[in-house]
Amino acid sequence: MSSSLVELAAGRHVILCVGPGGVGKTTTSAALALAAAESGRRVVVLTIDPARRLADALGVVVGNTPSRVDLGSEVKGELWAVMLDQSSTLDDLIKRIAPTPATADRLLGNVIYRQMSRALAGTLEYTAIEKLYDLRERHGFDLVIVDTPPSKNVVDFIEAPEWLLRFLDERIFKWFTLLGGGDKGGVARLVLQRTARAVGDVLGKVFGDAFVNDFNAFVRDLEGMTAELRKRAASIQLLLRSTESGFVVVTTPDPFVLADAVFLRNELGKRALSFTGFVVNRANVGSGVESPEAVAKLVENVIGDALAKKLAATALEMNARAREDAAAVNRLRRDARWEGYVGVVPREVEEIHDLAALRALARHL
Amino acid sequence: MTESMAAVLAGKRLVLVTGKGGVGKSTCAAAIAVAAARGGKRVLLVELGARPVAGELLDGVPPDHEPTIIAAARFPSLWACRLDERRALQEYLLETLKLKGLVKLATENRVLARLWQAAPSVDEMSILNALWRFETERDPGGRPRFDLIVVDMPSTGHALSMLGVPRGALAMIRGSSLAARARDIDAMLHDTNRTAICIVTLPEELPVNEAVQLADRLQRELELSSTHVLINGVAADVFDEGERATIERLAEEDSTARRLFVAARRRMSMVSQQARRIGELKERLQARFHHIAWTRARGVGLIDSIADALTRA
Ligand SMILES: Nc1ncnc2c1ncn2[C@@H]1O[C@H](COP(=O)(O)OP(=O)(O)OP(=O)(O)O)[C@@H](O)[C@H]1O
Ligand SMILES: Nc1ncnc2c1ncn2[C@@H]1O[C@H](COP(=O)(O)OP(=O)(O)OP(=O)(O)O)[C@@H](O)[C@H]1O
Ligand SMILES: [Mg+2]
Ligand SMILES: [Mg+2]
Repeated sequence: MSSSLVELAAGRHVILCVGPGGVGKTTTSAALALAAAESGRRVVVLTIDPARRLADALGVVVGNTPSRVDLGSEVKGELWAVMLDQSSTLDDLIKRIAPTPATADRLLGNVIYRQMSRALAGTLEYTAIEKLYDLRERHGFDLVIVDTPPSKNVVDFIEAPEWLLRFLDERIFKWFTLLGGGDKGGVARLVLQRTARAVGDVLGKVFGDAFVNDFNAFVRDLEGMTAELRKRAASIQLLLRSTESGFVVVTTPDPFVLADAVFLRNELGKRALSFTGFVVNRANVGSGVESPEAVAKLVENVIGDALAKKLAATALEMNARAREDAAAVNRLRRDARWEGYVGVVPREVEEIHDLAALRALARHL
Repeated sequence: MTESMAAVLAGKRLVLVTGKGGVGKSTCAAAIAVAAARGGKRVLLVELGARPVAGELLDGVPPDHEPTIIAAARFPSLWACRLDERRALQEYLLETLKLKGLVKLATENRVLARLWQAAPSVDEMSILNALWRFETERDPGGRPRFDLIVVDMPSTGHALSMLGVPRGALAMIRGSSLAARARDIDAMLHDTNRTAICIVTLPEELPVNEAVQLADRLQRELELSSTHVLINGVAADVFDEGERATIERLAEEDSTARRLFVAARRRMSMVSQQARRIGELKERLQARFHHIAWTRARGVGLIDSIADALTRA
């Protein structure tokens, strides 16, 4: 391995830590941000649902303004942290771009909007990306490190801008404007309108007229904002595809998790998103003593036979797990056909929630 | 004598297995299904994820949208399926609207297809509808098609939104032809004789917190009780108190064997850390708990060993 992850991040302004649930995305993002700050950069880490004590260590509370983490005066760089407020980021955006405050209020109160902004797959992911854009464009950080939310499917996060662009497809909006409009315009429009009405009838039958009315109101209010939303989604996509950005896939050595990580890396490739490397977190560490005989010899005359047997069994089990994990890392390289960066981080006994533990973890990156 | 976890769950019709990402939901769901199938029950294991795992876990063929027996030699009464959202939607509309043409228009029209993809909760509703159908299906003799349906649910947040969909939908689609079915599904989910929600967790800080929050939100927001908790990945406690003291002492002393004691101490800290987490969990959550060992078994061996553990009282 030639360079460290911190060195690889040096040429970039956005690093996104993606990966399956629970592997250590939040922890890795924080550790990498700390290391980058200590290397002299002005860094912000966008965390999502960190463990409470990690949030305390970083001094973040849910909210949309970054707060500075005190690293002491010897450190040249700056570390800032912000915790994504899933419920308000999208609302804030709507308020910012709505043509009038009344439109914003109406939209935020719409049943469909409320249901959608909470439940719809994609919304949460998009919210995180939107926040990243905001941090880079408005707050001017040199490096934004992004933790990503646990998704239903591993690709949800990287698909979010596409998803929004698809949703905002003007054709949907055209149809629904027709549905609500009166009979005017040429023959072509009338034909379209007739089809739209048929579709409207279907929707009415399926969902009930109340839903169709709510939906119409939703579409009407959103329509004035689609241009701006589309523009933002497109710029975000551009930013994620540029050489400024890099994706780090975090995984554990577990075979199922690893398979997801390889899949994710291939999906990044398909979308022309730049891949920086893997972090294999929570790798088991061996005992350092290889055979039962070696154990017996080491503890001879030190402890009784019964304990010596148990120690040997424990040591060998630890070794076996460590070997499996090392093999998994090799398999990862092979399956992903990746010769670049793979960081291996050992599984610590204690959970990681202070700066000292993050710093220790960052040494493996 | 208390009944085993496997026996309690096998007494239901529908077992929903959820929990934080990566804690072992798929593994435990498969083990619950296997334990019940060994007792002779006709069991259906339902997968929802984009990447199906039941085939691998049970050493069988990957399941399809339609229930099939995927590992006939070993598990002759275990069916599995992987629900496809598109097909589940078509079935759902067909069952509730009963007009083929309408359904064709609704699912094949390009604009509508987009709308389905974007419309809130349609996928979730279609999936729940399929579960409801499996639960209510009877053969010509009036016998249930499946005795037990075990569902490998999405993780916490998505499970919560999915289980809330029938009620959310009832608020939006009042008076439509879908409302009646939404009510039936909601009733099934709330019938504790039929449905059990099983939360899987690990003895670690975040999974424990998430399990507690999940149970709490299920109860508060949806009035659903989740009284079965599987604590997965529990490391065995091999040393007794005297041995622990010896190891602690020797791990501090300078000797050629020191690294061995340091390694053993690492393992001991893990066990005591886990014990603390388990203590917290049991204090914060009222439920029936079951411990599952952290083993090195893989594939069907892992499933078998967990099924054994669940069958022990
Ligand atoms: N190398 C490690 N050794 C020990 N514990 C670790 C390690 N890395 C992370 N952890 C712990 O594992 C837990 C999960 O880590 P983390 O929250 O970073 O995962 P995540 O991928 O962000 O999860 P989610 O998908 O739920 O957001 C935390 O309690 C963390 O302290
Ligand atoms: N008791 C156990 N001992 C050892 N390994 C286990 C145990 N339970 C689960 N595993 C392993 O942990 C990994 C994750 O398990 P599983 O896929 O069941 O989790 P999941 O909760 O379904 O994950 P996801 O949220 O990604 O769907 C698998 O590789 C599985 O083999
Ligand atoms: Mg996280
Ligand atoms: Mg799973």
